[in-house]
Amino acid sequence: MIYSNEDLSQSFIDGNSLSQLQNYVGVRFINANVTSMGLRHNDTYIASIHDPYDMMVFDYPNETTGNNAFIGNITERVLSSTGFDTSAGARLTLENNYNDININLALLYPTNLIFPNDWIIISNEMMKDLSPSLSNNYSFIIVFEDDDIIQNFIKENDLISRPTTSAVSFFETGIYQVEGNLWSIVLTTGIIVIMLVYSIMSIEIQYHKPTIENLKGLGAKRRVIIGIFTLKAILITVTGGIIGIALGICVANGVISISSLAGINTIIVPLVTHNSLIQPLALSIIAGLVGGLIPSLKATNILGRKEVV
Amino acid sequence: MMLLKKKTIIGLFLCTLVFSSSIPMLLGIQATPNDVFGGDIMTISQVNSTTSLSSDLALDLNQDENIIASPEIYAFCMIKGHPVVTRGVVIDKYLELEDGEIIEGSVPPNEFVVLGEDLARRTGLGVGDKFVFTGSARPSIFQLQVDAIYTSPTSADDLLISLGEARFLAGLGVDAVSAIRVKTTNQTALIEELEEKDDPVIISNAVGENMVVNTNITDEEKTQLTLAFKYEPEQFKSEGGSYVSVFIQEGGDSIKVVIITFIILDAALTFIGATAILARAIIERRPDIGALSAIGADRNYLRKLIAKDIVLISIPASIAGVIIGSMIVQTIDTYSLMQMFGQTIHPALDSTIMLGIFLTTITLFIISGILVNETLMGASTQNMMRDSDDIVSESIIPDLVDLLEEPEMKWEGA
Repeated sequence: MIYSNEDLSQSFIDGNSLSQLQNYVGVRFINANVTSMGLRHNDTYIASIHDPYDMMVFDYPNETTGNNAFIGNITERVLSSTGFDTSAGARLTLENNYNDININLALLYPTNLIFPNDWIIISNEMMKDLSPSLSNNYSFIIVFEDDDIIQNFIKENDLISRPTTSAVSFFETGIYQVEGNLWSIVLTTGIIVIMLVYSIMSIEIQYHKPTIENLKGLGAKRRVIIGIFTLKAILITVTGGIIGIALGICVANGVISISSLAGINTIIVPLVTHNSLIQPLALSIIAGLVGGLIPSLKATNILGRKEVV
Repeated sequence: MMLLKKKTIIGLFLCTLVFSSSIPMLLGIQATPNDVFGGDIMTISQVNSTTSLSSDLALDLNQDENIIASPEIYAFCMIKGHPVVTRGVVIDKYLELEDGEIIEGSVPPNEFVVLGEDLARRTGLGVGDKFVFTGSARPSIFQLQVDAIYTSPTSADDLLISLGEARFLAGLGVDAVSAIRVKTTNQTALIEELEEKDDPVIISNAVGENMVVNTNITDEEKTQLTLAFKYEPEQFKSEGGSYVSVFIQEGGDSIKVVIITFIILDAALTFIGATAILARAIIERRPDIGALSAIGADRNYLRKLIAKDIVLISIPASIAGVIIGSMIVQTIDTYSLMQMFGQTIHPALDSTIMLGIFLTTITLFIISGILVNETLMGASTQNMMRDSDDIVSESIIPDLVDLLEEPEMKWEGA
């Protein structure tokens, strides 16, 4: 489904721009008031369907000719509950700011249509009378394939597209949300890892204070000292990371096995992928770099043997 | 107060902060699936797809004044790029069950579109706004207009529509519902009442336990079905078992396993982090410890001294960490910053959990402190004294090279 505005009565797709598309169903959609014998029901959804490639499985919309109109069962129920005659052949008037037209109710449209049960479907000719601006244009279109042409069309015309079923998108987006949450927890644990590296490197520097003094006494530059200790921090975290990943895989599988033995059924299967190996290692390296850099910088403040006096 | 240093307290504070802000969130994630389908509520669903759960059962149950039964249909949809659990409901029963209320707009009698407060905030929709909505598993297109906004203490993330509209969305037959959620003061009476009905159903309680209630099968068959449900969910599903009850058990169990693992990992990291911070703090004070040893302090005295310091440092660090952590978690909750399948994750934060986190971190810090203390106290007094001597000698003895270059300056530095 491709449209330009969440309020479909304000949505507009230029009919001339559709020449590049092979197959589509165009839908014109407006809000109108329904009146009959002094009764009035405001803001009813009215649609007409243009199906030049006969893509719709159902022929009802194409059979909507002349003044015949098809009504959804919810609209029918709402209108009849407010006193309207909604029997077959009943005459209703649709009016909006431009015009008013008379329609004859033909049938309830089937509930297995893609359209909901709260619309009134009229012919394209009647729609043009009610909404002249939609004569050669549409409120939204339905396409049956998603290819580069469609994507370019959407992009060029600044349109919105969405599948007519959303369960897959729901679970896909939901999983991204869970992934995002777990990443935020991973990042907070990363803070502890950084503190850990910071503490370890501070201890290391404390222990190697005489060596640093000697190195500086021999003329070692600041960047050499920083380089040595930062590299050491990274080496520690990379080694720890590799051991941690190996243990992590064992622990993850162990947890699932133990859970099964404990009678807890889970739908989770630990997977070892390139990402599951590279990402923790990358995180370890970043933690090593950040956690090791501060003590390394401090190490350069230790005076060399020559500088002490 | 040998170990009292700003950076030691900050280190332990950060360890507590990470622990105290992640644990309530993890517990909140664990509780989310149950909040969607259960909470403190019992859920009735059909035994398998060959049997249909009728909304009439809810009508019958609602005759009992001790029971609030909300018939519901679930569909999983998207609004403006946000995943949304869409519930077909009888609005009055749903709000009564959830202790919810309409806070804006009004609900029309037949067809309605009511948004949860959190969902409205996320999508930017308000009363009167229109939006495009598409089907869940079957293709369909809707133009919906928001009639009202609701809130409830448990969840305000859902889109509520009428049962009729939801049946169209979910492709269910006339009168069929996905589940009936029930709140009752007398669960035994509810089960007895259900046993009198012809409908075979599964009742899932708040902790994800399931019970098969069916007057048409023998007790033995009932037990077998309950066991199959518990131990052979794949077979149960392949035979068309109720996805609601399977989701409550399997989804809840899966998340529980992940969350418990993360909590253990979090505690281990906090422990290791505290160990490193305290090790650094004690090592930095080795010269002082050496000096104390030199003037006669024995190991027991030093142990007590360090242990006392660790306790005194841990308490303010943990208090500050728990308070700031709670504030962070509260902010995340207020602005619905964490979601899962369109449901706001409400952190599990109460005085018991805060106290638990405080006591856990204090315990972890003290254990790590004792461990570090014992390990480092293993070093000989001479080594520690040497550390002390190094500091003293460095400050009074000039560099050898300088001495050779400028002999007249020999002991000037001293």
